[in-house]
Amino acid sequence: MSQKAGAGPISVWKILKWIVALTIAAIAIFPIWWMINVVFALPGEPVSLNPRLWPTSLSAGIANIHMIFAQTEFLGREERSGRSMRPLLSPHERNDRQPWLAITSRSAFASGSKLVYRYSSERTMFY
Amino acid sequence: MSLRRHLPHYLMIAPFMILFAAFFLYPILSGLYYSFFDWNGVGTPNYVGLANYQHIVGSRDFSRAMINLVQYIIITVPLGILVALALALLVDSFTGRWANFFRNAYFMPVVLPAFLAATIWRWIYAPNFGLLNMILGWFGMRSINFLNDTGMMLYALIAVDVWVSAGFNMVIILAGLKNIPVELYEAARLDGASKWQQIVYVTIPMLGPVLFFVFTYGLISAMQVFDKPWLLTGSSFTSYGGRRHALLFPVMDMMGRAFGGVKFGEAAAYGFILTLTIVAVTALMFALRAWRERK
Repeated sequence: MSQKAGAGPISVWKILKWIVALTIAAIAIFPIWWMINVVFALPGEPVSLNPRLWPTSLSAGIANIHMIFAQTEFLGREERSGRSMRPLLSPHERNDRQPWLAITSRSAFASGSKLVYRYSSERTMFY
Repeated sequence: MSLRRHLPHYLMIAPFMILFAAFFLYPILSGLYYSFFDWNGVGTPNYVGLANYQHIVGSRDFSRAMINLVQYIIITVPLGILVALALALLVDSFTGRWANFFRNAYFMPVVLPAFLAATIWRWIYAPNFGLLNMILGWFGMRSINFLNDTGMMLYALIAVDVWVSAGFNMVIILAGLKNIPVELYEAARLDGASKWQQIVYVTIPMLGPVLFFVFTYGLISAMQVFDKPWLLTGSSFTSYGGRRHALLFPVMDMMGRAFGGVKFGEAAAYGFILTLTIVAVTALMFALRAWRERK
């Protein structure tokens, strides 16, 4: 507008202006930075209980990002339905002695049957 | 003769007009048509006249949504513009890479998807262990349930909304600031005007048209508020608006009636009430501006 920062001697007004500008920048950016910290945090570690200013686990973050791509089927058809359930249910857990139920984004599976119920996106939207 | 002369022109605008009619006019007119019917989206629509409109206007949820909306608009629109103006003046006072850095930093929340912004803020607002409550705890203050305390919910939403929208308005105001001739400030300084007086008597009057656009756009956006309160309250089509409907807004109510209550006729009527309100308010704004300019 009139006098630009950088010109002239350092004044109280100029210092205050920098403090205000940097504080607002921190407020604007911090939630986004915090989100990155959450993505790259060790699994099972509550972020709010242990606040920190930097990511703690690169591999956990990559695993989280991979999971998102796999769930949205960006990585190919082989990630779909049954095979994508592997991390959730191991073969040992899938035996019929113990009843189990797995729900994916498009269908529900239960012990003793291959497919219990398949629902459309419209149905999940309405109900 | 005239038709033959203008036929190429009509043909050139025909593709746009066909698409405009198919994807814009038809849905609007179709919505208006169904607003007079009781229709669940599947069966045969039953003509009910103005019953949908009467039912909506007489409903408690509609009153609650409108009261919330008025409170929200009264605070969030002026506050959003004030914050954006302050940010624009602040950024404008820097030069070079620092000006670029602050402009980009303040604009960053705008590029964030609303879903993500709301999710981040849900974490920040979380009771007991949320970031904000943790900071309050450092000062010995008790935990506040920002998204469940009916006295706080609206302010929690406004904070998120200002955080998200301030950057967008700042960029528009900043563009307006760049167009103000430097000579006006030089003349004001020669007359002994202080920085504050330069802002009040030069900057704000010269930003009039830009501020009018920002205000009108902010008002229209505020009247259509949906995504942020919906996500902050963890709403679904059957349960929305948060505790005691403290964050119930008209578009949320409309969506709930359509997809939760499966009353598409009523939702269409709701949409028309809302559209007419927005058009009326916008027209009033333009009329007031035209009247002021004539004066």
